[in-house]
Amino acid sequence: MQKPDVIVIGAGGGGAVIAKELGELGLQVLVLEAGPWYGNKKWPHPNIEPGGVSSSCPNDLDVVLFKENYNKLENNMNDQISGKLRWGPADREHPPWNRSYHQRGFVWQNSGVGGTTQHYLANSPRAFPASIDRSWPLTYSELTPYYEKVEAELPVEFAPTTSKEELFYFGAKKAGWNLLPTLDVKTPGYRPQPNAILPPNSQLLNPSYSEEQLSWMEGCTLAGHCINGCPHGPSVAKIAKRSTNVSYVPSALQTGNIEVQPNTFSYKIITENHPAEGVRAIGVKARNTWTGEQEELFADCIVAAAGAIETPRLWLNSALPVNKWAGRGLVNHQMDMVTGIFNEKDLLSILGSPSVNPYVGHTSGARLDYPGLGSIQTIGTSPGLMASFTYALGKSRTKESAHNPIQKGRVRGEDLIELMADYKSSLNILICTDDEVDRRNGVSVSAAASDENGPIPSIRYTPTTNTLRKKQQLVKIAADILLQAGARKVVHSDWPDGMMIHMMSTMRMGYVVDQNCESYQVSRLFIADNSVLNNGLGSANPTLTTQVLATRTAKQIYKKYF
Amino acid sequence: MITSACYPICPYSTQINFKAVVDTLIPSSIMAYQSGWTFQYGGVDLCTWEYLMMSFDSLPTPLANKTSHLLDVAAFFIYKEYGHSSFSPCEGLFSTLSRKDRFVALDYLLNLQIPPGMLPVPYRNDPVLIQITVDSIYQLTYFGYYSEWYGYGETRCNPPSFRHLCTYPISWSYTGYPGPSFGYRDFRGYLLNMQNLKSE
Repeated sequence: MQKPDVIVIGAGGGGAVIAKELGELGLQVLVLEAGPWYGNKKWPHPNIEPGGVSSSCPNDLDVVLFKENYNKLENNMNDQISGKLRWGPADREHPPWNRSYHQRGFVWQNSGVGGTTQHYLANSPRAFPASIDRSWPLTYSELTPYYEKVEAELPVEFAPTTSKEELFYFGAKKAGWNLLPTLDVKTPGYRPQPNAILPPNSQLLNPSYSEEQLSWMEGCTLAGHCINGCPHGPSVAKIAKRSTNVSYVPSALQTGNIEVQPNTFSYKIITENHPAEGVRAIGVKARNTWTGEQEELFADCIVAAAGAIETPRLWLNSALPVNKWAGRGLVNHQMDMVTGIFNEKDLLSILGSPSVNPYVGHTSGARLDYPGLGSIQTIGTSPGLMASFTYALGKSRTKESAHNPIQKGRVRGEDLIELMADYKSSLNILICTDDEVDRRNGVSVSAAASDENGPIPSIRYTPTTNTLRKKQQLVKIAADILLQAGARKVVHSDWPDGMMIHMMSTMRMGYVVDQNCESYQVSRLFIADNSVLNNGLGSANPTLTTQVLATRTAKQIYKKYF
Repeated sequence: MITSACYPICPYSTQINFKAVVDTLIPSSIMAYQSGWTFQYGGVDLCTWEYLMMSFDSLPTPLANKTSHLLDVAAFFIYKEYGHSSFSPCEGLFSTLSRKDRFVALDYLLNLQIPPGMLPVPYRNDPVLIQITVDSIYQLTYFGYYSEWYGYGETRCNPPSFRHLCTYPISWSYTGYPGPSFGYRDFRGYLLNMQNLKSE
């Protein structure tokens, strides 16, 4: 591509969306992605050899190659150190990229085309309206048409019911909660998860089709591999779970205006002083992750979509103007896990089956929302992830009491073995708290530690007292639902505060960027990732709202500069 | 069940400490059922200690040996509490503790009860790194044991792109997980659908 109109840094949840939208407006866009590209003929062995340089043609997408790479085995896919879906270079013999922490916990992200949406659960709820209207420079009603557009495009549908959702609904109803038949959550209640997953194929219950045949047809097969990377569908663009590498990236390539260059780590934004515009972004310095070769690329506008950790790092390492909110205000939904273990006979009477089978159906198919507190969401994963996230991570280790069915903290030894023997009769509930923005929390760069891409991100997060109070209330609600559903035991994992799965608000709208997501201090520099969210959306999973903003920002870029 | 070590890069003292830690977190055990009992292989039998060592050595700064030293210092501290002051924090000391005391050693580290100046670099005076490391010992042990990793057989210590399933991952049978699937037919309808919302 000759000098592109726009360079987008990152092909994840936001970058792929803004690239496609800009491409549809006729702009030439170069997307730089730090990680590999799975399912593209130009990279037949994406983790073993460098492959091609870039791809701009939809015919390069290859579903057979995609399925070979996304092989559904949890260690191969989700090992955070050397898995295919990790935060690191394509070459898995090299270590992951490093971060420095000021508290217990870790950041769980993926590099690669599709970014973290490769293993996300595709949960796509809208922000709670009150969380937008109380502090954003935009109103919820201004965002609504963009929500509708993105929901139609992905598409977003309510999750179908399988055993684990049915059990959750049973417990929630018995605990006195109401069904919320809405996308705009203003009152507490439970509902199926609005998910960016294609509905099950209409032949799913037809025994004349084998499961393998169904996996090559359009629609979810309820195979339960969302978190390990969904490979099911007839073509890359029709894979059931709508990670951006199978939704927005194919659509972007269809415009004929997009080139995606994987294995390219952007480490600096190039600026100049312009007499009329002041400091403005004109390019990017990037490094090939296989060869170490560096290059400078130039465009009329730059979009940072590197995520809520790397975008502030990029800002700080580029020596851009000082902004007291750059990198500050990190929220993470202060997550936790609550798990119910059921007796087979109780399950039989509720479900007509003696097992919950957490590995069946959408990884997260049901939720309860409570504006002002947060949300809770069912989770069902493969056993390695289940054991390591449910029983390994507790801050505390409290002994079980014969009088209290709720056990708190880390589990080990024979207790672990017994609980994992009940894996098929277990239901996880994830806690997502409506946590408060605090300027003391955030991302800086480490003066002491650098990698090949410059000083590494240093992450600091302490929840506020109010956030912890809300989390405790949500834990109680989740435990109550599980007990109402008949759980014989409940385990509250008691996660460390620094579990970073939903990282947001480190380059906040209204503080670092304006309502069009353009930097206040550097013109022509836009941001299209979770970092621009003004707050934690009331606890709604952030990807959909980031995609909504990316869609809106594309329009603004076009209007202002082209 | 125990096969020869495929990750012999670490010193023997590191190997025995990592064996000791996985044996503590996931021991071999007898599982009793109404119909009888069965033996369940533990983390040592399924070579999870090798997975743990390999994982620590695959970090940006390799940490398997340093972590082994960290465990030894915690063990030294426990022996000292028991009045065995003649011990020095020799390599492999952690593995000589009883299972119960190994738990205590891990808890002491997590609760920052070991004087931070006694610890080896890079853990010395870095309480967060100590806690993250102990958390990682738990998390990686559980993930290694219950995922498919043991099933990679002789290829399990190959570089990650050169592993393939050679045998059935026996830990799947301990949970009832059937392994990856093309699909399930447990479709029970919809509680809500977008179309209805739109028409409302």
